[in-house]
Amino acid sequence: MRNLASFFNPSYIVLGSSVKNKTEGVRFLVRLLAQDIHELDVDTICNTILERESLYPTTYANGVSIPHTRIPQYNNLTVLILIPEKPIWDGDHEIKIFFLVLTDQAKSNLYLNVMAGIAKLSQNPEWLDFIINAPTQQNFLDRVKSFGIKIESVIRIQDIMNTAYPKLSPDASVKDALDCISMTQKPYIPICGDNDELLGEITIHDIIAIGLPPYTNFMKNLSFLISLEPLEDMLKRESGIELHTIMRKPSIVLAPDTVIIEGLFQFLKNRHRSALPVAEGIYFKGVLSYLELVNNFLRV
Amino acid sequence: MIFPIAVSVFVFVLVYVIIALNLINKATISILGVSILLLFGILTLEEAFASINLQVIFLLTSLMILANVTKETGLFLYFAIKLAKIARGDPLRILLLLAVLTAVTSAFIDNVTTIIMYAPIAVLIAVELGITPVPFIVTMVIFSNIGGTATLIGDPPNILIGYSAGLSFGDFIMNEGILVIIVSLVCLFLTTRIFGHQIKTTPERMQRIMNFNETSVLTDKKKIIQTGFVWFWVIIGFLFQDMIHVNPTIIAMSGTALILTITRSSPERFFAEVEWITIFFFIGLFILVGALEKYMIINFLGNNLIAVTQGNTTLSAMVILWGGGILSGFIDNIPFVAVMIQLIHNLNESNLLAQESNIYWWALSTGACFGGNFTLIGASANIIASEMSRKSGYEINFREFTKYGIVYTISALGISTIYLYLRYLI
Repeated sequence: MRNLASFFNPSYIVLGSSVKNKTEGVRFLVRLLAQDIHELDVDTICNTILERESLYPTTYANGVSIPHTRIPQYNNLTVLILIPEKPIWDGDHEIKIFFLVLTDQAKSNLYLNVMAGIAKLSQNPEWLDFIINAPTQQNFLDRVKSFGIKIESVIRIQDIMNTAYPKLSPDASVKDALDCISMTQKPYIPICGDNDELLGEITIHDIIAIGLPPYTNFMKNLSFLISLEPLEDMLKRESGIELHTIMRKPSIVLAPDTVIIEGLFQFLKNRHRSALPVAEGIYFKGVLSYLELVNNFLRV
Repeated sequence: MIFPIAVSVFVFVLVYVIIALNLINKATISILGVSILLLFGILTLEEAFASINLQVIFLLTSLMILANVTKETGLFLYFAIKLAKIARGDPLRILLLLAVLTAVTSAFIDNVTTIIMYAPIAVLIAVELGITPVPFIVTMVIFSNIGGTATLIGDPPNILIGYSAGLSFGDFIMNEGILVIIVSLVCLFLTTRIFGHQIKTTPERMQRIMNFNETSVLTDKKKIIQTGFVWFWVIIGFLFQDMIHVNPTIIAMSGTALILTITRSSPERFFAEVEWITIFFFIGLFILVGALEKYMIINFLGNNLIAVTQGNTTLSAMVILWGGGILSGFIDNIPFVAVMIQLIHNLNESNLLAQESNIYWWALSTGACFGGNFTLIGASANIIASEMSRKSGYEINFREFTKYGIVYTISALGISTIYLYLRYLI
């Protein structure tokens, strides 16, 4: 169980902002996030949030506004907080504090629990006043922490996995795989069928292994070579070698609802792996890599 | 008395058949056989432990560690590349030189380790030359089995024979070593006839071999000197074992301790690399044969063999040589040798000529070691090499190997027949 405060980042807490209305508040926060995540489409996200707000407003009588949306392939759960220097009006209610919650479809468990935590905080007027008057971001966090609101969530792989991970079809070539690795900087590629069935996986090692056949594994080193026929051959034929000829069946597949401890354990047990595929039955759902573990779990 | 005899024979035959058919791992089945003997009270625990020849076990273990530490230096890879360059990249010359290198290495290091060290570089050289590696793999396997015959430590059957018959490293060199040199020369000639036409390449390909930089594989020169120093004294110890009166096991164990100490190698790693399957197979086998000895079954077989050969030394030696050779082509030669050792002790008791000349021992060693070349399943090195070749995309099946193996083995056994006859029976 994690304290609600652990989901807030001091960089994303804005105290005493001069925004004049909800639209400005939302835009301000999304732009703030976009300073760190450049690929965010600020206008689209703002429009989505505001459209939703026009249909189902999230401003409550206690002065709390919780606009939120799911951004496809966002692969994170971020709460941005804004406290206007003066309360601003939104329909019939004043907004004293914004909690903008952004996530993607896969993190539904954690997302709902965090929303519930914010709602619990908002329901206590004394707590709310106490945090609205916090003089600094750190103090804001300390005050939230002091309430002891726990997020009743077992963190599962689906909460932190990368759903926007690149994948290739078995008919793709080694050239495609090398291009993909080069462009995305990810050395692991899941191989999926037309309906997203997880068929196999390849890593940069599998590609190198075409050029360095098994007999080279038995040698102490290959430093005596300045060229090697199979490697030269592989580089010449990279467009003609289809991935289904070199892909392996994934040795470990995590289910989305697997608890994070098991994910950590599998990484520890399989030290040579940088990523593990996540699938529900036979269908690919995402990838858990070191990056997600660090950014979405260990660093939080 | 009938019950323990029946159980001993039944268990031994069952273990033998299961190993021959490769149904269960040989260490597992031999230890299972031992468990049955102990559970039925055929042997007591004390009798079982007393049957284990610890000298053989420790010699084997020590040699495995020595070989593995040496392998790490890159020295063997260096030798192989150097020879390929001495051959100026010519495929046939490389093949012949690698065959000689394999035979010499196999005389001191077990055949499986030798093949694991040399087969990969042979495949790589063949691929760079644009030719099939099959002739290289087959030739190296053949010569590893031939080379292993030359010394006490070259092949496990020789270790068993040497310890049981009291034959030294020098005895093996002077008797089997000379035979191995003759057989190797004939087999080198055969190799040129069998494979010479299959391995042609272009000057451009040969230049690729000449571009290899063999010195770059020697990354730790200090370790090479230390390892060479230890091997030098180990070989000296083996050669002068009769003069210094030190048991080969003590020499090998001292060498192992010294090499681990001065190279500061991690013992955990090298102990883990010991072929425990082989070691436990030996332990199980010693106990199984111990039961046959206890109930005089070996005596019974020996008496029958004497009756069949009518005590004729030449006939007995030829039966041992050719029988051992043919059987070793299809079944593991170690259990065969383990039983034959006891039989030969019985035969020697009634034959002074054989006892003095040790002809039966040499016939057994020659037959069992050369016989491994008959078929693909004749020796562990053959299986390892074919598996390595298959994984690299070059399949060597039973039929193909046997096609070559028969030629080499019949030639080797034919030469051995003449050698044994001329040297010990005239």
